[in-house]
Amino acid sequence: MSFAFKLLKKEITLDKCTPLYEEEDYEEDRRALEEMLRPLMEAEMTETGLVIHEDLCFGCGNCVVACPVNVAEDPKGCAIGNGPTSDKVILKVENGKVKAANVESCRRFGEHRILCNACITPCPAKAIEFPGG
Amino acid sequence: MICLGCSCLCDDIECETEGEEIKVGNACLRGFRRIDSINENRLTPRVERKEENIDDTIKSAAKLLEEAKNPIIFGPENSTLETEKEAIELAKKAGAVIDNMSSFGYSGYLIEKIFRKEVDTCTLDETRDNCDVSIYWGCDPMSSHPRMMSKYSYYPRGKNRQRGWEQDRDAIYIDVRRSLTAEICDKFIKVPPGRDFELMKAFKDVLSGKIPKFGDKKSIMKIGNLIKKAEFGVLFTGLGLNYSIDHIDDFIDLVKDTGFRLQPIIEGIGLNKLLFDETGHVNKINYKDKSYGIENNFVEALKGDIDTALIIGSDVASNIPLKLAKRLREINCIYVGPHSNLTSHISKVNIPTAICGIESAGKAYRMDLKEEYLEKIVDSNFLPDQEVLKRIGDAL
Amino acid sequence: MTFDLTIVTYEDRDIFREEDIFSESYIERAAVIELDEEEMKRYGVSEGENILLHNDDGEVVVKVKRSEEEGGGIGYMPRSPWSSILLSEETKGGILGYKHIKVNAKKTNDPVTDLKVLFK
Repeated sequence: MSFAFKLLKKEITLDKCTPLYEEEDYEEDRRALEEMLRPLMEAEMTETGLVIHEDLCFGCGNCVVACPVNVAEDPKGCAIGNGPTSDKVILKVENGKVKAANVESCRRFGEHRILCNACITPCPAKAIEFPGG
Repeated sequence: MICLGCSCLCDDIECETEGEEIKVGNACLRGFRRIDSINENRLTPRVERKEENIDDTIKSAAKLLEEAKNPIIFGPENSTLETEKEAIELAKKAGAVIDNMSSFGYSGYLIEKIFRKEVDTCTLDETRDNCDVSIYWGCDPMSSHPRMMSKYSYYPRGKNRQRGWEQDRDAIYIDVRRSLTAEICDKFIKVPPGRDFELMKAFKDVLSGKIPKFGDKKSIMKIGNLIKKAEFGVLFTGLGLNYSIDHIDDFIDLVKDTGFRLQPIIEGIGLNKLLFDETGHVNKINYKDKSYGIENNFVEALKGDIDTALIIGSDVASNIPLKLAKRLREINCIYVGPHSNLTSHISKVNIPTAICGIESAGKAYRMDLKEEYLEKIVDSNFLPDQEVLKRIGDAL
Repeated sequence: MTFDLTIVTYEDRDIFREEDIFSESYIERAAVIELDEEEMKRYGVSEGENILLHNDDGEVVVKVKRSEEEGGGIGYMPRSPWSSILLSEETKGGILGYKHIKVNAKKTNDPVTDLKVLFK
């Protein structure tokens, strides 16, 4: 199980599981796993596990306006539906796609973490996720 | 800067150019693609198959319009008031019919009712500050107007809706398909094609305290009660609200019963407003005799005796039946716009223009008639479309 | 005459006005029909294969895309030159039947309809 978690957090790569690559019996499983993990490996992932699938995002800004940290940091911008006016926001749209910054401020992390879904639920394209949990 | 990618006219866009690279902040992908398309797929001036200089294409267009017995002007879509004014002036000079996309669905009819003050409406800012229940019927704003729900109707906090989408707002989606908007709304009613009128009857029943006879009764009653209790409801409509409603006036009656304000999600409302102020109608005007009628609808006119068409910034050929698109190719068709598309491909004359709000300045209306001034961001050798239309008119 | 399928057209968020409609990338996204598992079985098509759609107004070949949504006899096509080929000239007060196109469908090995050839 811990191998799987490390894989999702990008701490190790799939080829560290040597039997998968060396034994013929596992070829089909290896192909299936590579296919399954491809979006994750290609997606932009921050150190804290937030994944944005750029190919799915179309910059609607729902997450920018819904994120409680964005709202708290930017009452005159994100809170009322506009683009960020503060540097402390976590999510903002650049060139039509959402980008993450200051992810350590996200409520899912840190000492008093909570299972916040505010950026995931409003995304119509399922472009934001926290695959590591 | 202000984005003219759709009729949301987002006013918080940041744009920096570093040589060939453009960095755009806050615009959705639609808006960004429009800004980034400065060097993509630009129209080149031509007459028939021969490339010409811009002056000769304008002269050819003027000649075709002059010789036309029954010309039509169609469009524009995302453009400025100045262009829309010039389009009307040109229609007057050429004795042409003028029409736009609003007659391709019920949006034009609903807008006319709003202009006549026969149906209530509100601004997008009022929606943000007050709306507690929004209904999206036959439209998919997440796909066509991606920032509308995050800027105005659902996600943001507003003066009287301080807790935004989390506690102060509900969103109801009604359509034939589970679209992107359906994915994020609180409630979704999937209506089989052509049966919106049955859902309308069901809502009418719930509003008058009866049990509905359509769909999931419990769900419809819950939604009906949400509608009844709404303090400031807004109903958004789109192209999906067509063909399935035989009597659009029944729909308007339902809207009045609910007390909701109507906001058709529409492009090019500037032309509709200008035409309405002059003629009392928002589209389908024939400037030969200043008459209004269904025969002036672009599709109907094309089936009739139209011999010349001037199409401004709208790929209408992609949205009409094949026979009619081929008819466009047979008649004298002039396309005026920044990028090439199917309509420009089948047109005899192509006149390239600047991209409004990026390569040329002007005023434009948001879908709720809020007027904005769009500045020029980038220098360009292309003529603004209003200038092209003016020059064609002068040459007549 | 009975028809196999009703087509509902929609605005696709991944198709942009500025694009070159003859490019492979545009054709990949615009010349498609979304069918659910049941409809795909009915016509014997898999995702990525081509299907011929026809009615009295025209015929067009597009690529099949799998739809997660239950179709119930409905296929979804992005509003594009390809879906418009199947539109009828008949209107209701000038309004075309974008959400209600009746067609017959058949699996085919023919390539996707080439617009340049169609509008030669």
